[in-house]
Amino acid sequence: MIRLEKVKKVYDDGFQALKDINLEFKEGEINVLIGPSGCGKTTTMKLLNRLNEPTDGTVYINEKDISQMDPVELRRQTGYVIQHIGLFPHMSIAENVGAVPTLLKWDKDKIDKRVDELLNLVNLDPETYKTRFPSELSGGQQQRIGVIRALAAEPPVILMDEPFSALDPISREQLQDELLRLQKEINKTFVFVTHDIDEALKIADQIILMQGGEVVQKGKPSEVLSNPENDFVVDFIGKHRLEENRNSIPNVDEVMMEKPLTISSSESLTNAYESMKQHGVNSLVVVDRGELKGQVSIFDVIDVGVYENKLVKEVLKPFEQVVEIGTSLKVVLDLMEKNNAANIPVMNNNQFAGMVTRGSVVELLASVYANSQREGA
Amino acid sequence: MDVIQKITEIGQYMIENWAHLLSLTFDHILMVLYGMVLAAVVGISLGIVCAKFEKVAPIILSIANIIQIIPSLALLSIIMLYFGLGFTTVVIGLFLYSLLPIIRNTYVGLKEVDGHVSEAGKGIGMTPFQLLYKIQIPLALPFMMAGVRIATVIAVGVASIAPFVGGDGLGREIVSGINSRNETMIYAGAIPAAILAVLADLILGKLEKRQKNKIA
Ligand SMILES: Nc1ncnc2c1ncn2[C@@H]1O[C@H](COP(=O)(O)OP(=O)(O)OP(=O)(O)O)[C@@H](O)[C@H]1O
Ligand SMILES: [Mg+2]
Repeated sequence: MIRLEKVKKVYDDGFQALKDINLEFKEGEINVLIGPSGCGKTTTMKLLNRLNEPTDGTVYINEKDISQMDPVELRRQTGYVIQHIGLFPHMSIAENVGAVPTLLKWDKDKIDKRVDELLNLVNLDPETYKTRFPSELSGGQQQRIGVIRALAAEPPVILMDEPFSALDPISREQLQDELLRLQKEINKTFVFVTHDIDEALKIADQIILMQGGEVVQKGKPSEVLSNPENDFVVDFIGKHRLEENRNSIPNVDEVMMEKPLTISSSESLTNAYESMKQHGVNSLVVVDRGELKGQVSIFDVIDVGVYENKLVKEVLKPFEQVVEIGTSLKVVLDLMEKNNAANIPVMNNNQFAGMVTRGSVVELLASVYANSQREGA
Repeated sequence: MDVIQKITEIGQYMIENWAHLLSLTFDHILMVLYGMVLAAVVGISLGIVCAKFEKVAPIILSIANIIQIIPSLALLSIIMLYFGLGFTTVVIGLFLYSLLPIIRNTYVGLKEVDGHVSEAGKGIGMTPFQLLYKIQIPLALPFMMAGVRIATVIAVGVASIAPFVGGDGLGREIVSGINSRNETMIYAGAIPAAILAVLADLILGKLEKRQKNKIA
C-alpha cells in the first residue's frame, strides 16, 4: 500500500504545485489520477519514485518512508511509463523493453523470452519489431513499447502517465482491457494518470479528481458518479454521464454491504446471540475462512435455547441463492422477490464477498435520489 | 602555358622525392594523432564535467577559449620554453589548441539530449553513471565527433608550423622551400597538407553521419 501524508510540493521557482495531498493507493488496485492540465497529476506521480521530492510531508510504501530508501533501488521496483514515452532512441526495441531486466542483471535468455512475451502482449510481432529502432515505429506503437518497458521486471508498483494517449480508440480499448486482465491476474498496484474520464471510469478502482494542486474528490467510480462533490466535478465528469449513470441499473458490487457481521461455524450459540444483541442485528452470516456456510438468525437461536450448549453449525441454515460479483441488481431483486429473501450473498470466486440486503438497496436508492435533487437545484 | 608547366614541375618533384614526402606526411599525421587522442580524452572529460556541474562550465570554457585565441606560433613558442624543441612541444600545442571545440561540442551535445529520455533512464532506475554511459554519451556522440573533426582539421593546419619549434612534418618541406626560395618545394609541402585536412574532414564527417543516422 502507498500512502501520501500531508504532501506539499513547491518547485524551485516558487510555484506551489501541490497543496496538502493525502492519498492512499491500496495494493492490487488501479488508482486513477485525473484533472485538468497543470493540476499536479504528474507531480504527484513522480513523488512515488522520487523523481520529485516533496517539500513537506511524507510518502510511505508499505509503511516505509521512501525518503529513507535508496532511490535507484526504489525505481527499479517501480515501473514507470513517462508522459512523453521517452524511449531510448539509440537502442533497439528489444533493448528498450529489456532495459530494467538488464539493469537487474537477469540472464540473456530470460530477458529474450520476457521481451517476446511482452511484445506479444501488446500485439507487436517480436520477429518484426525486436530489431527495429524507436524512430521506425508509429507513435502508438512507441507508446505500447513504453508501457511494456515498465512491466518488464514485474515490479509490484506501476506508474503510468497518460500511457494510452496516442492510441486510436480501438487499440486503446484493447490495452485498457489488457490492463484490467493483467491487474486481476498479477495483483499489482497501479497509479494511472489520464485526461480521459471514460477511461478513468472504466478501469479505476479508485478515482482521484484533482484541481489546482488539490484533491477535489476521491472514491470508487460509482461513488463519484452517484455523488459528485461539487460543480467542478459535475462539469468534469459531464452531465450526460451522470444522467446515464442514474438511469443505468447498477450491479451488485455497488449495492452490497462489504462487511456484514459474520461468525464462524464452530462458535457457540451463546456467542452468536451476544454478538447479535451487541450489534443490534437479527442474523449473522456464517463464514469459515472465506467459505460461506449459511446464516444463523435470532429466531433459530431462540428456538433451540440461547443457553443450550450448542454450536452455530448445528442450527445454521444454508442460503438457497447466491450470486456472483458483477451480477446486475435487476437479477438480484428478482431473486429476492421470488424467494421472498431478505438478503442474498455475493460471491467472488467461491469466496464470500458481501451481502445484498433490503437495507442496502434502500440506501442506494436514497443516494441516487439525493443526487438527482442536487443536480436539479 | 605557364600554369601547366608549373604543375608538371611540381608533379615531377613530388614523384622524385616521394619517399621523403611520405615520411614527412607520416610525421605530420603522427603529431596530429597524438595531439588528438590526448585532446579527445581530456576534452570529452572536461565537457562532461561542464555538463554535470553547470557552475564550473563557464570557467572551463573561458580558459579553453583563451588558449584558442593565442596565435598558434606564440602558443608553440611558449610551450617550447618549457618542453624544449621537438615532437613533445608540437603535440602539447596541438592538444591545447584542440581542446575548445571538443569541450564545447561535448558540453552542447550532452545538454541537447532530450530531457524526457534522460528522465526515463533515471525513472527506470539507472544510476547517474549508468545514465551517462548508457544514454547520454551515446546520444551526444555525433556532437562529440563533430568536435573532434573540427579540431583535427585545425590541427593539421597548425602542425605545418611545427618546424619553427623543432618538429617535423610537411611544414619542414614548406620552410625549406621558403628558405631556399623554391616555389616547387613549398607546393610539395602545402598540397599534401591540404589533402590531409580535406581527407580528415571527409572521413570523420562520414563516421559522424553514420552515428547520427543510428540515433535519429
Ligand atoms: N520543474 C518544474 N518547475 C516549476 N513548475 C513546474 C515544474 N514541473 C511542473 N510545474 C508546474 O506544476 C504544475 C503541475 O504540473 P504537472 O506536470 O504535475 O501537471 P499535470 O497535471 O501532469 O498536467 P498535464 O495533464 O498537462 O500533464 C503546472 O502548473 C506546471 O507548470
Ligand atoms: Mg502530466
